Amino acid sequence: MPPKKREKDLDSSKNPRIDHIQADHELFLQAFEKPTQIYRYLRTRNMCSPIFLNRTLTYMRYRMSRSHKSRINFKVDSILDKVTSRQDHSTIQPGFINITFLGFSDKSLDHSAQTAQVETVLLKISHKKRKDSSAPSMQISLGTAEIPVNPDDQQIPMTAPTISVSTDSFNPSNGPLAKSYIFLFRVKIHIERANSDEEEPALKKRKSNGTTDMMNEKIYGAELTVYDKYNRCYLADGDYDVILQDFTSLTKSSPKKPSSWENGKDIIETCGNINLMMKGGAMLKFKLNWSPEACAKYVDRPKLYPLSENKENIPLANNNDNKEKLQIVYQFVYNNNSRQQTEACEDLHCPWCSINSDQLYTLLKHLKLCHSRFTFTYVPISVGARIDVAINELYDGSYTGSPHDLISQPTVCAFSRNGPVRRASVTHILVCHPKRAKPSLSEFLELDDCEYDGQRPFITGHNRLYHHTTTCLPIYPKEMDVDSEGENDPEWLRNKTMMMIDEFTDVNEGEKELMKMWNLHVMKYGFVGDCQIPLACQMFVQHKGKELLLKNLYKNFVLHMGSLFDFGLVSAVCLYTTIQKLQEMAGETGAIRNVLKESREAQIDNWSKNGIQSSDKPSTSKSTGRKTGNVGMQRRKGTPTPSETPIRRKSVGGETSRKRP
Amino acid sequence: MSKVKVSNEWKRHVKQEYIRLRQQKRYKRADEVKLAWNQNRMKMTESLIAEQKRWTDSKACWVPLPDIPSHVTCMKKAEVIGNEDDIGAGDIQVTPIRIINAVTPIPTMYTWAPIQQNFMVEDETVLHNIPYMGDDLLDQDGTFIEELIKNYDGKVHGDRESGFIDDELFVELVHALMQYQEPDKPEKKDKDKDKNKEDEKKKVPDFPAYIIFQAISSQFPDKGDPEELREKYIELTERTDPNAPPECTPNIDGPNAASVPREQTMHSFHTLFCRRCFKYDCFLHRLQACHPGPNLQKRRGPDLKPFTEPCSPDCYMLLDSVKEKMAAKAKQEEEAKGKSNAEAGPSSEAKSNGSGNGNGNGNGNSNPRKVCKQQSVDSGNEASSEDSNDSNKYKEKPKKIFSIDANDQDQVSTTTNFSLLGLMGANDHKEWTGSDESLFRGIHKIFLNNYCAIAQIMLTKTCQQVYEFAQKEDAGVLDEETMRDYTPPRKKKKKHRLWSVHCRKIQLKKESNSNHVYNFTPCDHQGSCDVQCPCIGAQNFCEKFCQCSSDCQNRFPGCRCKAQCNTKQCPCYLAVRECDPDLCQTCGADQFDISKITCKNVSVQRGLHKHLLMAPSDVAGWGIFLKDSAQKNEFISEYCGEIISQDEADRRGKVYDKYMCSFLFNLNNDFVVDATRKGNKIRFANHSINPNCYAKVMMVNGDHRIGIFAKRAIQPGEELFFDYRYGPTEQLKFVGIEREMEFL
Repeated sequence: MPPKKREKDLDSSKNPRIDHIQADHELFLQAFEKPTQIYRYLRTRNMCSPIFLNRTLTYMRYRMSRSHKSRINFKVDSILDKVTSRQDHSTIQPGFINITFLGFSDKSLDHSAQTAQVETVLLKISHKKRKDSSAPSMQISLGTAEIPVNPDDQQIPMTAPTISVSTDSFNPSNGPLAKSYIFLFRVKIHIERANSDEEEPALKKRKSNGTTDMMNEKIYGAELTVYDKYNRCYLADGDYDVILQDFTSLTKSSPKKPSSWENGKDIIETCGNINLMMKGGAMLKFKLNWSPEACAKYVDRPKLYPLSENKENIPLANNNDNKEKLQIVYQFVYNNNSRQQTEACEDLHCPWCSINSDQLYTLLKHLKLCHSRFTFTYVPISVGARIDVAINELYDGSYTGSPHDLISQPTVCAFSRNGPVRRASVTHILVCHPKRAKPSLSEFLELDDCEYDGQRPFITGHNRLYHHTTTCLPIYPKEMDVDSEGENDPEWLRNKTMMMIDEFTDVNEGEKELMKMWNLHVMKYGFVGDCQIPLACQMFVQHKGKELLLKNLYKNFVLHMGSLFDFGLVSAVCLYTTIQKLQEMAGETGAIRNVLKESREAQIDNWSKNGIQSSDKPSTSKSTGRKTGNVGMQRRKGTPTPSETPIRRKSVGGETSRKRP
Repeated sequence: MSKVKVSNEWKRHVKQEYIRLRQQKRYKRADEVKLAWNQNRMKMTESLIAEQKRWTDSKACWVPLPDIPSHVTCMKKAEVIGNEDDIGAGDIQVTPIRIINAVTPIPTMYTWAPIQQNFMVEDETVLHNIPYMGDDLLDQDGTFIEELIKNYDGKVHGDRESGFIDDELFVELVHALMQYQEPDKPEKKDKDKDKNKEDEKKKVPDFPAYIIFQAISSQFPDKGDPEELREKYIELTERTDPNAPPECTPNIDGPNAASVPREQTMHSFHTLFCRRCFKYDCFLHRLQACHPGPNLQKRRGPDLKPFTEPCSPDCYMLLDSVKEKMAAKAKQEEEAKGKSNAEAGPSSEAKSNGSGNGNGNGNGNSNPRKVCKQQSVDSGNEASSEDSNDSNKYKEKPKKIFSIDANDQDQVSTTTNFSLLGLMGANDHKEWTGSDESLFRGIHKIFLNNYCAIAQIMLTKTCQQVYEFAQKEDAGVLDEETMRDYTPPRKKKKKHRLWSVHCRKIQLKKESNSNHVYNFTPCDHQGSCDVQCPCIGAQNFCEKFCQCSSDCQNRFPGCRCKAQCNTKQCPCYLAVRECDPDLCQTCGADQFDISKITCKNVSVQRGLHKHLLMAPSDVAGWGIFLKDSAQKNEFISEYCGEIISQDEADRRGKVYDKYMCSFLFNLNNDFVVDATRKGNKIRFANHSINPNCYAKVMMVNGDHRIGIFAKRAIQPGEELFFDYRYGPTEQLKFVGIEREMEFL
């Protein structure tokens, strides 16, 4: 772990450099200082609460003690068998638990006592009845044994006392229905008074308060759960070091619930326990094994079980002693020239987070992936490896969380717990199995040609903040499903078509109104073929029929339908039925009837008023017939000036009226 | 007319008056602009005040988050020690520092209007504004603006062109110059001059002296010679004459409705209706030179046959003269009907129809007025008609064109339950107003001699009155005999045979096709389509909008696919056309309900675009992202925009090039799509040489349109790119940085 630090010490002592380089050197140090600080901080944090386990990484595979060999032979069908066999197991097989006591140690005892008595008690706790405040329990003493206190490593007694507990005692058949079974160990030590007075005044005081009969005895206690109330067996074969506590305080520390989040206090307590163990508090050592038959009262002192290696728990275990020593030199590069070299070191610990890698490849991979603020280049040298460290200029420390968190969201805030808030769906790929190249050191040689890194993006989905296309305002996740600005008839276009029709000077207001209504209708529903026009008419009557009649446009609509007929878009039958529908509507509503009636009356009034005029006017129109009407129409409707004269109406600024071409 | 020497004095007059009038106009215009501006301003202030009021009225206020985050102990804190003078002197106030994350600024965007269909705009012949691109750019390249103005022939919006005269100004100028006529009296030989003098004050439109036109002509030689100007003046003044008929036909529903011929009644509808968009004054085709009017020679069936029974006691059929005619005709029809019924499988219903007919002739008065025959439709006949896919309840499906028989008419209820007849006084409906007459003429052509139907639709007249008026009108009404001719021949077999021939032809056409694609304009020439036909000339198919007959050899036959039309097996797909709802009827392209369409080749016309989302691009500026996934070749969106001519595109392109941001997209040889001002979201798609989308110009119901399709499977949230097909130099000009994309 300390190479980095060492290197810093070195640079102050060993480098009597020229002054003008000094400033530059300061810059170099500054550049490396910040990332190093960050990684140091992260190291501490990851040790306290790791965000992932290094053993799960492919290149750290050697840290994984567990193999998945059983998975190869796994079959789905075997699940039932497994479960039933386990259940069989849980009805306890006839046999014995043999507990062979190896010794009791308490550094504070100072060899004052040679032996201690261990009483083993089986505590049966029954079902808690509803109204009882405490569960009924029963204690069965299983026997006592004499064990050495603070056994010396050199003078281990050849035999050890053993207690065999029949599994029958765990079966519910005898006695009342017991739920859980707990071993209680009570260790009694006789102490000379003189000693105890001096050393344990507090203890004495307490004893004098409570119990008077055990004046010169020290009692320790511990408990071990054999079966809990869910009938889970906690004790397997193994060597046990049980920390003993004062018997009186035994009830305080109840076994922790197996699955719950630990909080800080728990950790501290656990740590305290461990500290106690390290300091050398009271501890009972015994070996426990299950066997089909009971053991003798005294057995030969058994060997310890071999310590199985759990590397995750002992990260610093150095187990490659027999490997050839590899020299690793870190060279710090700044502004393209090397500034600093560390002394060659032989271990494969990461200088920043002191994680132990057992191969050079692993180390390099770790450096590259976990310390991306730097770049690492591997250069093989005669003694081993040189690793060039430089600042990664391309390091992108940008915010990788949801971009929606960056904008304030109205009322329902992104981080609020006030209620459910819709979020954009983003897929983060947590498990990815890309084809991996064979691990080879060559991938660290050159900086640039690492094509292999081209993987699929780890985040897919809508991991970005979208904006409305016209307003550029952010789109909140709850609005994502609405395709805004995607409608066929945006408001401006609806207004535009109305304005354009209004601009005509030679179209009367009835026609204009009808044309606007029809245009809006077609724009809204988007009719695409001739064959859909009858349907369009039907829908028009359905949706806008009332409005149309109230606006007094009945005859205009008839003319519109006639025009559609002229264009060959509707048949006479369709026209007839469509108008029928409209008439039905007119019949239903009195208001419409009034509109039609009033308009009719107005027409008749006007007609009779202008009777004198009309008397000669219709005659002319009638006598001349349609053909002359045609001529007149052309003059009226035709565009008078623009087409023939050089002056174009179009070019007039501010001209608001439009003429039909 | 001999060249008369125009005196300098007259020239001066013309010049003076012209300048005066121009100035007057300018002031007037400035006033108008001011007024409009003030009105706008007022509107804005109003809405601002309303908004302000809303804010003050509402109880909304900012509430700081009261809850303390769990990690408050390790947050940085700000500390303040109270001043000695303050009340809390010496108190230390501490609050944790909350860091507000930096929000990255979004790329710039210029305003644009959303559309989902192309929008054709006119060429801009004057430069409307000088584009601003930052001061430094103009300093660097001063010639740019000059070149730009040169593109517009030096015409800039609002420029005071010297020789500018429009109609209004011309008339005013003439009138203004008339006051100088008097001093020149002896020089003129105008006969009106005495009159002119007398009521000059009162009546302006006395005819001006010829010298005026001469003077104007000499001053503005490009406006034509004096004779032309004179004629034009006559034309213009006549039009503005207050006694002349108003500009347009009076509203047929209004009180002033006039009796006008059918052409005049229908003129607005006929000229403004776009037969291709089904809209009036549509955005896409209104500016195109060829506006196909209705083909009045063709009728769409089925026709409404004259009802077999009198519609009411006042039915024209009950008139004696008509009865005689009917009796004669009935005999013939009976025979015909008997035959057809025998063919179709005689049903009791058809017989009852026949008997009803007989009754009607005999004692019509006793017949019930309302006979709704819809209920008595023979189900067997219904099924025999090809109405197997009953998507819409309409009987007027195009297929039915070929199957007009007696049953068709029976399905239509022949009566209505609404009329205005009873609402008015007894004699009111006898009078034919202008509105009535015009309306009659409008629908007479449609229903021919079905006077019952005409009367029902008119609402104000009885059947007999309509009949009488029709006899009076005596117009060249189409006879029933001529109508028969319009019944299209049954030619299904023939069509099918043609189709296979067509398919072969399409392939040929495809092979011979050069790179030039011309815009489609419906043809309306005489005779059949041959080398002279513009469609053939432009290597386009004739469409349903052409005036040629439906069995024209140059028509595209459509497809007969039953699947999705997304392979080259489909002739439409092969010809880079979308399926035409009026041609392809087996793939469901004709369905209105989108969920019933199996055809995948209608996405552009139906606007079945994907949901797109806009966000800052990973490449440059804005980008567009797919909300849901897309499969290969799936339709993403249409590239919409303004349709502009190639010339206009060249002019606009000059500016866009300078901005280094172009939304131009070549549509065909004639037109370009420009999504700068109007467009849809796909306009934000960036260019890539390794794109995930491709563009395809398709013929969609007679219009070329640009579809953007997926080039490969696209995941949700991916940015969309397509190849803009730049030249190698332009590429870099527009997309400066094209980062390496991440590939799957």
